[in-house]
Amino acid sequence: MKTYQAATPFADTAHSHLVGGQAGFRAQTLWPAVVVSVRGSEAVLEQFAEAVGVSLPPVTESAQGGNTGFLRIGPDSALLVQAPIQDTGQATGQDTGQATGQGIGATGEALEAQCEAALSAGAHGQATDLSNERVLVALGGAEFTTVMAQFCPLDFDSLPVGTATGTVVAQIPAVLHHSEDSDLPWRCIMRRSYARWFLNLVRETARPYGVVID
Amino acid sequence: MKAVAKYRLPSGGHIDRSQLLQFSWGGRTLHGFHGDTLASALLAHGIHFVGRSFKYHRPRGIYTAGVEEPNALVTVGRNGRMTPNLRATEVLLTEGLNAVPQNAWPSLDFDLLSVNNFLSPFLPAGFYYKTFMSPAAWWHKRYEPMIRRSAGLGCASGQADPDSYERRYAYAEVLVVGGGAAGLAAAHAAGQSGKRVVLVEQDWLLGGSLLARTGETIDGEPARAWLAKMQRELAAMDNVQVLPNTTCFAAYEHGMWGLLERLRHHGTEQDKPNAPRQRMWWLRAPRSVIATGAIERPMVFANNDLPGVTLASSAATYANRFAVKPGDRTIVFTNNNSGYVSALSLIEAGVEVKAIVDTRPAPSGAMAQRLLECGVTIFPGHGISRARGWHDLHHLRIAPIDEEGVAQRGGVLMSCDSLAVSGGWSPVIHLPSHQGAKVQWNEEQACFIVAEAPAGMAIVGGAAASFALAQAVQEGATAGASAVGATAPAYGAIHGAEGALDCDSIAWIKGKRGKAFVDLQNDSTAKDLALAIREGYESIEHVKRYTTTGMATDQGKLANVNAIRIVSKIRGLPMNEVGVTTFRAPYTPTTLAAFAGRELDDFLQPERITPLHDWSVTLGAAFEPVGQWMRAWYYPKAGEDMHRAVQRESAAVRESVGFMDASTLGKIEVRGKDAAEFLNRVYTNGMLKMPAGACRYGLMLNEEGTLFDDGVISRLADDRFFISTTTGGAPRVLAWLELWLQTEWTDLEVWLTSITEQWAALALNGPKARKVLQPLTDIDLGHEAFPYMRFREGQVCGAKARILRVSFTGELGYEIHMAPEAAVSVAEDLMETGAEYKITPYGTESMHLLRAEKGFIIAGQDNEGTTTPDDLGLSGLCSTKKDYVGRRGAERAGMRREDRKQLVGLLPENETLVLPEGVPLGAGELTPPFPILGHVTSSYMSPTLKRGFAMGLLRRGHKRHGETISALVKGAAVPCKIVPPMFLDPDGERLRGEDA
Repeated sequence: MKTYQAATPFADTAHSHLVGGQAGFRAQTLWPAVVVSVRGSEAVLEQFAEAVGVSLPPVTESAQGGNTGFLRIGPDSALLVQAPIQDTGQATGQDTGQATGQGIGATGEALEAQCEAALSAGAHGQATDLSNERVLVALGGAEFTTVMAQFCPLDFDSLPVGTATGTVVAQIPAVLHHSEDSDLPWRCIMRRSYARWFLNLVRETARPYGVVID
Repeated sequence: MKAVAKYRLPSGGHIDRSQLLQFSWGGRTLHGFHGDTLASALLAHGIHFVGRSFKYHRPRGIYTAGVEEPNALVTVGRNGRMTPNLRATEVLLTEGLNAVPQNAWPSLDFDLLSVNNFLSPFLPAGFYYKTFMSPAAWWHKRYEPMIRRSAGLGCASGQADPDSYERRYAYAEVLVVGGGAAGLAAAHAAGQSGKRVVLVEQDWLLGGSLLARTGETIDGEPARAWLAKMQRELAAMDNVQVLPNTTCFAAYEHGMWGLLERLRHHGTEQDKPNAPRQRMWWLRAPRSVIATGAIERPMVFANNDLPGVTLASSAATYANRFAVKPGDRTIVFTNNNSGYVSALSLIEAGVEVKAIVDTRPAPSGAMAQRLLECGVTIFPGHGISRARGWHDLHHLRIAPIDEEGVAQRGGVLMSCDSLAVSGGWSPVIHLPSHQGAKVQWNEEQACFIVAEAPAGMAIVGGAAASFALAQAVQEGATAGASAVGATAPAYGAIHGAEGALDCDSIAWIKGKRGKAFVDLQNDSTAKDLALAIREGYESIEHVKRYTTTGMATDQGKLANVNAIRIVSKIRGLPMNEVGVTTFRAPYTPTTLAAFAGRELDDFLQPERITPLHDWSVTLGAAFEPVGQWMRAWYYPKAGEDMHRAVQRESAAVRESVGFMDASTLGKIEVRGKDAAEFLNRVYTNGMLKMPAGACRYGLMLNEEGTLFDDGVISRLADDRFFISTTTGGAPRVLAWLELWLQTEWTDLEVWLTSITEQWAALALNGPKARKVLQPLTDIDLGHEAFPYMRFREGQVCGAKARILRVSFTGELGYEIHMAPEAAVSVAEDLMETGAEYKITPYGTESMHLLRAEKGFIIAGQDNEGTTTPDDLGLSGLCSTKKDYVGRRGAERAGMRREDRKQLVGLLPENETLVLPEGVPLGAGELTPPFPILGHVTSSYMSPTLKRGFAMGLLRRGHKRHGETISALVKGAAVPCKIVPPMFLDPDGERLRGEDA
């Protein structure tokens, strides 16, 4: 039987080029990332949080346990996010080239199983791997707020590190996470089908301020 | 060096005389200074007459110095940057500015349609309603184009706007609207707190009325110095954002404000790539200080629209801010004290004021005394009964008036070239009104004010009828401080305008002749108002609509209060009982492109692509948008058009094998111990007894019992399903399911997760499908081992896969779901193993054709808002043993009538004909008018049947099989045979396919 060749959702994204002078805005695709959706009541979410070694954060906040971010985006929902391991302080920004059989889903399903195994008997909770569905883009730069304010209605100045919230970015349903990364602090999680259009939009919108997309 | 324009005063003004600017007005080359508006530059040359009126094409002049301008509407700019209907009073003069007058043909001086002015006895209010009644069919073709030609504003350029526009979301604790004395004091006081403050001013200069007056002092220093100090200090506060050139055009709910910032003036080009011309801010600020000032009202008298007539305060503004004389001999006509303020201001600036005409019988006080000392004649108890002139003002008839404002015999005729009028002041309360604030008549200041400010909003200064400078500044400072929970700073001595207007109730001088305009922009007169009331339109809302008073682009900024006054007088009602009409956003006309921002062209809305998108591109696919998705429509080979490509693709699937990208199908994971019960309630067919590993086709209805969506339900485990939805319906279906779960069935333990993009999907179809797929998978595809409507989990090309044996073509079919990263590789492997069978990628169009041959519906195409499963012949899918959403709706008598529109197959007698989709169906020759009995919903040329075929919704369709019906195609009746909607393989034998 044949073995497939893996492809990344960012295969065709023009990388590493500066448009318009100094880079006031930067975007970096983080691929592949693990994203697992967990649903459940407060008590059930606590069990999921425990499973990844964090205490349950309040709604629209996050907690970090090792490489796993627990993003509490609603009273009954959270995303577990593992950004790709960065070896040189930089995300790899490219796929491994190795077929795992399920893409990043192999790791995602393991995390999904780990979460569900942590549930007490009869608990009404669910973990669903969405690693293949979602993509992670890191955003930052001196003009981050200026650019984002053009298509995202959040008050970025009032959102401290740790904030995790569902919102709309350029008409796209997305989750934004204010991470501890000082270089590119904001993480944007959206469905993979939007990624190319979104990066094109970012390139155009940020052009007057200078933009780099890695 | 150009000579100084004739009416330019030798000194003064907020203009930069070192920057001489050349501009063009209607083809004439003129000069002005930096700091001029187009209007002030024209007035400096003595040009008052700048436009023709809307309905009567009367000569009109510059009437105001601000946003309330009703007359001086001009077109500015060239080519794609040409902008019509700009108020010349707001356009900043720039080098090379090109401006032309509007609504005059062939020229401003000689306008053919000014004949309307003489026909005016035949053009009363409601003339159009009364005259252009019949025949009705003439309205669109004849009446409307004719009226549009004659009663027009400026024209759009017809070219694409080369500029870009931007939207920006922003937050602040306090918004201050208006950069006059009150607004500056408010922003300064609020800014001290360190909280975020935004100050917006529609003008490019801060200062408001301070710019138009002289001799005022604040805190012991000249107003001009105080203004500079405030600007300096505000600029030094990081937390305060001052936005000049910015209009707050709307107040929305929950502290949301619409602001339009004009970043570049007309005639200036962009300096950075992609930098916007205008920026629309959507600002959230829970607290606001409304310091929008007030607008002076005109007086209503015969020929009050002649060029040369201006508001008194505007005349003073031109003299003091722009150093322009309104004329050589000015007369002031007022019914309140502010006319005297303006008159004195004009005199101080060096303008000759001949007389003051005052409706009040006994004006007195210091100002009157000073005017008398300056040699100004005062006519107390008088009004202007008629202005005379043609393209400009020549003289005035000044007549004594009675207590009703009726002009009496006698009086004098006085020559002048400029008349400055003041009929009182109207606070600008549009923004509180957008938020539903109730307004009430304030008798003391003769104006409407806000009775109770909306929550979080403080209204100060002129906007609150506090016309005294000292009061305005103190109110502003207090409101600004209290918005941030601080105490107001104390101001020292303030000397400026007095507040009390002592305004007379007479604003309308009733004479025997001439038109007395109430709404200058829409050409409605006091007589029109009287006529409306005589004809029974008593409510102010009816009077407004019947006479169009206040309905022009200025929304009656000048007209409304005078109109209410006149209605009040005629009907003998107090002002409060007449009431007001509603102000609506936007406050001033707002650029449409700014609302769109960058959501244009490629960025109109997000475009979603599948993992196979680029692969399809390399194969030369044409795409069609489905919702936000781009789907491969067909894959033309060299030289093929769409028809030939679709015929080839469809034939390949019937004869051998083909596959399509089905990744866009919506997929929802349904989990929890009540998952089966939940699905059993939302689908029409039973779900409880479905075993794991099974698939089922299901219908979802809305509460009315009509089709909402369809899809395939697959059971993974007792408590785990995944369901598919139509591509466009996925978000809607998920929201609908969540609605039921969260509001009606909160006891069910079910979670829903959209997993549409977790899996890429290929639909492999055709008799050879098994042969092609088997070498690539570890799943036994044998007919018995993997029957129809089952699914299996396994691997395809080493990728984890869920394979569904389902078919939307009527052929043996497998839907292969796999990790998106494997999709391209799997597609290429299918091409390779399928090469010997001429495997063919196909697009959505062939999919549509293939399913129609089998009579499978597409939800959203073959149904309409009233179609039930029974109408579609799908009642077999509706359980009679359980309840489900829509069952009771569908069981109502009317939903089961035999004469409903039902799905049928249609075979045109002319076999080569493909009926256009959407055409009506009827009986016989279809000579109009004929009863429409239905319409064609799907229609294709079948490569298998070698003929055109269609489906349609037809009244009593189920009972008409075998009959003939006519379809209306290009005006001709095309006979079609009515058949069951199943054109191929009714027994489903092809679903088995060939063995591997």
